[in-house]
Amino acid sequence: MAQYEDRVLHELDGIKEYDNPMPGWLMAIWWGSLIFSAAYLIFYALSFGEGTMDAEYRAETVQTVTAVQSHFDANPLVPPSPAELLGGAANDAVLAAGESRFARTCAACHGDKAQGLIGPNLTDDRWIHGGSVEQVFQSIAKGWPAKGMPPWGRALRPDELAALVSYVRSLQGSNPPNPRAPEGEPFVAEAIPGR
Amino acid sequence: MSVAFGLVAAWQLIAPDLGRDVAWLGWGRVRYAHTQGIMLGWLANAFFAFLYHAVPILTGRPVTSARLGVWIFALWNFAVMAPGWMLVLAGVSQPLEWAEFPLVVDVVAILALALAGVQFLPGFFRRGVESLYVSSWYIIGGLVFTLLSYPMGNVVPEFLPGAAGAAISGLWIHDAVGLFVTPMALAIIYFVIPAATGRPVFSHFLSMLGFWLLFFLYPLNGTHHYVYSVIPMAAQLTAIVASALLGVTVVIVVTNLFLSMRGAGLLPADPALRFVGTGTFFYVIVSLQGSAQAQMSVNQTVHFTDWVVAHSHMAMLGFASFAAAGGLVHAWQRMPEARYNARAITWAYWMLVIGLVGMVVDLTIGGLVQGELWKSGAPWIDSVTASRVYWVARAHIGSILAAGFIALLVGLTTGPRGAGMVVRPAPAADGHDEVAPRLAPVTEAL
Repeated sequence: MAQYEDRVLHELDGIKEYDNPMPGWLMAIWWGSLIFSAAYLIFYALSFGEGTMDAEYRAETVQTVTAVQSHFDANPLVPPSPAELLGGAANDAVLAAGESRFARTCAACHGDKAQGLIGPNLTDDRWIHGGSVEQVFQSIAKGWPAKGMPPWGRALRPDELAALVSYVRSLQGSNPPNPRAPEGEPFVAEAIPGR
Repeated sequence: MSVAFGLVAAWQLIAPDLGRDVAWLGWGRVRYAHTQGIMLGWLANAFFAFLYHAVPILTGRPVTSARLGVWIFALWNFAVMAPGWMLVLAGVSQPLEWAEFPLVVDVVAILALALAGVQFLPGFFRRGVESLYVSSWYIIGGLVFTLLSYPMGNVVPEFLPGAAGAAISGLWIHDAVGLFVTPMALAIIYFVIPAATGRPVFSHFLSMLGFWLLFFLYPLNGTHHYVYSVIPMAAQLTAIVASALLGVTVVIVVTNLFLSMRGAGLLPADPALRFVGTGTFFYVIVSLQGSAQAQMSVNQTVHFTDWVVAHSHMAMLGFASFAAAGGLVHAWQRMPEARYNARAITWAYWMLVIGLVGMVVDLTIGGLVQGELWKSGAPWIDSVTASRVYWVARAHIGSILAAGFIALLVGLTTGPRGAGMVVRPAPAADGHDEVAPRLAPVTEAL
């Protein structure tokens, strides 16, 4: 390293330090980074270009909303027939799927045994929004947002929605402990074929 | 102890029932005990120990008071570490990263840090600024900044709600590493290299440029933990730019350090020099990685994944712990009454290197797998299943690291007294390119 004069600047008990200048290549890297950083800051702080976080967020939101909308345009939710829904209530595989989905999605409001919590009791013979399997399907799919029941028609798969209805039908008259008081109009549940 | 906590946490990821019914062995608690223990229990103690060797040489006078030293040791270990660990394991903690010890412990820690300032700093000021060596600058900067940033990160966010508190906490996450651990580790490296090689540091200008840039840029850096979050975009951008420039700063510092080590070889015979040289190497790698992962496009993938865990292990273990171990070995080589086991130190070095590289490679790949799976929209549990193989590897690699730290402890506490002693390097005749490690025969036999 002949270009450096290696003049010792100071010494402390065997520790010495040279007074060499900064190597040219390092100086170039440093100034280059400073200039690039300044340009980067100006470019993004003033939101030029497509690459800003805000623009990215808006673009992705539009993209997602469009994708969801076109999916449901192409695959509209067709309510199953009452026969299918009631048939599910006699099918152990369907009931198991419904029970699993109920525990994860519905139990928080309707109680783990559907006995009612902040949401109404689903096991008694009274229904606020109609107790036929078709009406229950519509209540789950479209919800009653003003009363706090969210619409699940786009959040769950069609077979999960159907399984939920079948499962809820199977709970009719199960008399779970600590039920919520009956609400709504009486409805005589449709018969489950084969049970 | 801290490594053992880390090992328990690593095993719980692959054997979730491990210690299931023992509340104090809960993952969330041992993880806090691990990180706080590494920073405050291992690194801070090692740094303070090294300061007792370095400060008298750098200032030309003894530290303020031996009795004060006993007090600082007792406060730090019996009034900060012991109650901190016990409270955290009992479930009393702050949900603040790198600041999990509760407020009552923070108060004692701040007092101890203030006393450390009284213990180590007056000599520098009496000596005058013109004659300050770069290690002295880093020691002053580290102690003063930590005394200010510790309350900022450990106390202030407790009383600031929401994103504002998180932003302050984010500053501390990086100040703990950048304004306490980094300056102390660099003070050790800048001290050990010229003392062990007997050759001067390459450039005072580069030393000073690196020092001032570090302390100018680091305080702006912490917000890069919140890229893509509700922190104002201007703060995120500033942190991103500061992080990139910090990478360049580290290149400047490491250039200076490696030019100072010219001729010492890739694997110096002096174990102290070997530890700090390896630490310097990991320092530049981890810092450039840090600059990269502060960028939005990289952060988008790696944020919250094990990539970040690999990164912090490279910083706290690869850089800081290697520097601390080098500093301790260097001081031990100059104490005739200190026990020293050269074989154990060699084993410690290799097990720590192998364990660290293994863990970093393993968790970096695991982190990329997790990040890509999350971005793909796959169910969360898929990413957990995919992580299993990396977590199994990590838990086993952790045992190598634990063995490495045990070997380091054995190396510094067993063996004949004074076995590590080296002859003090005499100044080279012409002061030029001559490397003079001048090791005592017993160390050369290594």
